[in-house]
Amino acid sequence: MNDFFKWIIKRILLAIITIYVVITATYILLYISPGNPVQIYIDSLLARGYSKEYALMKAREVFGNYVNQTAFQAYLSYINGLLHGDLGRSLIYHEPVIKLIALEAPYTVFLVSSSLILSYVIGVLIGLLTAKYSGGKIDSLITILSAAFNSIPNYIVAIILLLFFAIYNNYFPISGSYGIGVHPGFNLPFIINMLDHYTLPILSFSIPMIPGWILSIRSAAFSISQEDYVRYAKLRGVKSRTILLSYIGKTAVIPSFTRLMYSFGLLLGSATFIESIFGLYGIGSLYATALTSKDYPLAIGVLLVIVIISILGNILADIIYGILDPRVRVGEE
Amino acid sequence: MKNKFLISLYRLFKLIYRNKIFFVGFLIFVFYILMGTVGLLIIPYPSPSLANPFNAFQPPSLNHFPLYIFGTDYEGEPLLPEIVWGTPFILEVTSIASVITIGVGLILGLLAGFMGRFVDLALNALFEIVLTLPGFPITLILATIIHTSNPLILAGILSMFSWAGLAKAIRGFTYSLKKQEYITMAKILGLSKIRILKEIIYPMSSYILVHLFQDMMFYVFGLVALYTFGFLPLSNNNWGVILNFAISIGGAIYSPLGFWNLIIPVIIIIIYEIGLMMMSIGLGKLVDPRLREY
Repeated sequence: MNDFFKWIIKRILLAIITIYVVITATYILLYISPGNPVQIYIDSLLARGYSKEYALMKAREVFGNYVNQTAFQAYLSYINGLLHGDLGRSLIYHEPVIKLIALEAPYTVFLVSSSLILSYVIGVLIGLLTAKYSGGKIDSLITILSAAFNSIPNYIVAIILLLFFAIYNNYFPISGSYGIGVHPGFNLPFIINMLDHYTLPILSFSIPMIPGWILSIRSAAFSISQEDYVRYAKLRGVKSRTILLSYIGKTAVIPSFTRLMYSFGLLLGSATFIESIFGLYGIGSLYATALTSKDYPLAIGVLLVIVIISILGNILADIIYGILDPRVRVGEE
Repeated sequence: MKNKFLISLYRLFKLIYRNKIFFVGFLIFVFYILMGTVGLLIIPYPSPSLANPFNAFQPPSLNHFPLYIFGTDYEGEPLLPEIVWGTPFILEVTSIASVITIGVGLILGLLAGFMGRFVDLALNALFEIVLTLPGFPITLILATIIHTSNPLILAGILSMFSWAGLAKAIRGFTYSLKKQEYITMAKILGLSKIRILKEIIYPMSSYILVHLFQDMMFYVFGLVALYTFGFLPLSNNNWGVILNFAISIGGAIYSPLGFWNLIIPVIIIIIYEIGLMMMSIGLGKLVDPRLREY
């Protein structure tokens, strides 16, 4: 157990270092780099004929309290602000960044988690199926198809689905998180309406992920089926379904289960394109809007949240993996 | 000497030809390279003078052969010249980015595997940090801030976070190869370091080549997406710019009119990716002599 704790502490230390590096990098991007947003903002105010004092005051209002401090002081107060949840104010929405993120995050979490679960369930089922018929025609067909679809990104799938199922045939709405006339909240009309709007986004998010699950489950199941205890079970006359489900299935699924948690954080950041194409609410489209309209405080706020969530997700996945699979704790180094 | 060269060239070609899946992928790849080089000599440069507003949103047809074989866009400008002239930029940036990824991954991985101790510890921590960062949103913000169409800088931005996986794998390879007997023998025999390095790199070459093609696939999608969603200046010809204009000006994701304007570039991109994918699948067999079928 001692080793396991050491290992966890190492992970956490590395995560803290990573987060610290990212925060420093975003600080440099925001406040020090040539052409940083603060200077651009002040210059734009000066160009419109405001006085320098007014411009500085305005900049302090938008970017926080550290506009005319020395670089090091500003750095300290930037980190201090972050520790208190202060991510600055958005330039285009005129609201605190943290509030905007809190408003939009549930939509992204819904999109990402439902797509992940859908793709995972389908992927594991097909993966175990191919493992059962491994070496046959079905197996090689599914493997080749998976390899082909593995590399197609979600925005291409989104464009294709949108063209065929929303524009050419009006099966699903073209854009928006929910329609006009429903009230966001926990009521039936809203949920039905939202599912209708989210069918294509969820599909275009999950379809490109399915092949990855299939391939990893298949290879894990294949290597496990070569183990002695599985062979022995076969010789003993255990039913092939029992072998597939409880001997192979369980062991093959554990590593992918932790990958599932790990993917969640990464996917939060890659929802950007899907949310932009389908005009959905969410931190992805918020990020895209912030970037294209040069609203850097908002963009960097969203980026920090995404980075921190994915690093924490990564750690959590590692720890759970270590608990579920004792071999990891010992065999890593 | 010349004869020998010809024979080995012939052998290589025979190998490629026998490996059907690689061969088809290779043909597709060569076709795109020809499109981005010879194609520029045949197909006229895309300019508004080719446009005819009365022919906007035409489906693919044989009118004005070969100009209309991909249909026209929202201004009635034929898509074929835009796609052909958009090819070289995409090929250039993605191949530079893949070479950077392979170079950095290989060098850092070998360093970590060889040096051991402190260097290994530091480099491995670096790999772990880069691997846990969500590269995608960071790429977006860098593209927006730097906002350039310089192929070298773009390649740098694209490959910034994807070398770490390769580096880690190379480190592992080096570690296990270093302990092999023939390497130890080579050291005892006093062979030069470069020779030993060669012996270590050679077994990894199929892995590295597969990685190269997969990187190229990955970067094409990334680069096109950056242009499609407007994170880079739309000042040159490439497939992403066509998609961007189709969506933002042609309104292709809101009306059935823009169907061909949107689907043709998507198909062009997917076929290229399939070619690369087939090459990377077939390559394993081609490089590894044990898998060759004679």
